[in-house]
Amino acid sequence: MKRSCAKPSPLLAAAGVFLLAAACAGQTCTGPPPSIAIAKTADLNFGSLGATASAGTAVIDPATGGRTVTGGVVGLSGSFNAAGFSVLLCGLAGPKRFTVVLPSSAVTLNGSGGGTMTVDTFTQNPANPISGNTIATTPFTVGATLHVGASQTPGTYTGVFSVTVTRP
Amino acid sequence: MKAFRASAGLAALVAAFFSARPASAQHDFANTRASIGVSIVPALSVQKSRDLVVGASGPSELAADSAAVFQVTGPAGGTLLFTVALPSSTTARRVGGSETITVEGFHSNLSSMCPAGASGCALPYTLLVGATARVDSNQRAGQYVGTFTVTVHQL
Repeated sequence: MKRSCAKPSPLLAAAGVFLLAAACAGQTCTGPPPSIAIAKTADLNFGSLGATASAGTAVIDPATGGRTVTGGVVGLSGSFNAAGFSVLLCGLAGPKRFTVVLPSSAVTLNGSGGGTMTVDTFTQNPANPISGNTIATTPFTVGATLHVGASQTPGTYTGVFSVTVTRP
Repeated sequence: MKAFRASAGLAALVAAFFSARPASAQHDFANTRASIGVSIVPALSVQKSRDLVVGASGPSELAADSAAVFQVTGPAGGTLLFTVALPSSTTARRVGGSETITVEGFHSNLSSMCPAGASGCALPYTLLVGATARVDSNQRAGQYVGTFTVTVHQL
């Protein structure tokens, strides 16, 4: 999903922040240009997994969106996908690239049935630094590794992770 | 004169705008959050649909001999390899008394219907379990009741 953004006139540089905010609804720069904005386009979804007496993992590949299971985890039918984000560079000055910073520690998921699981080893596609531009948004995807315990308590598990993009 | 003041004011605004940027800032950054979701279901479950009746041989018996029936279920349309663990024996106690009967020789239809090394058993799978009751020659008549546990393991 591409969101186009009006190019601010150099003559109106002082008002550039406000022009960008108006032109890129849903994706706005919070600082003066050159700046950067990010929007989430998809949550990370491991889909439906079967738990057995053996522990295992499920891995979402950000490049392909594919899912791989190991150990006692059984991949069941249904949709799954990598997380998706789009980035807009704001302002004409500065290099047209950005860097993604992913969680370095594990994220805990809480289950509707009371159990917990962890997600770690967050990966991205493409690799850093990512070329971006000020006219249209640049997408990137994020995958991770889910650790499923032996006889993991059934339920719907949710958690939240944070993604930061920086512009040099 | 008025025009000069206006342009001077604009220049001051522009200067103030750019000077407001921290000179030490090496990066401009932005962040957002995304959710992680997953649904965990048991790959296998087993549920009794009929009790085991052994040695029904008198006019007072309420039910005829019948194997216990269990439904082994899993993911819709799934095919899984699994084994079944049965007890080696259990004890049935006479209703209203203390006399017992030993029930042993538990066996199922799994070995013939879903052999090890096969690609798997289609689910749901109807598991039948039978057993043998050891009745003494002087066993007191009556209804004897006990319980046993069936466990399915996914391979």
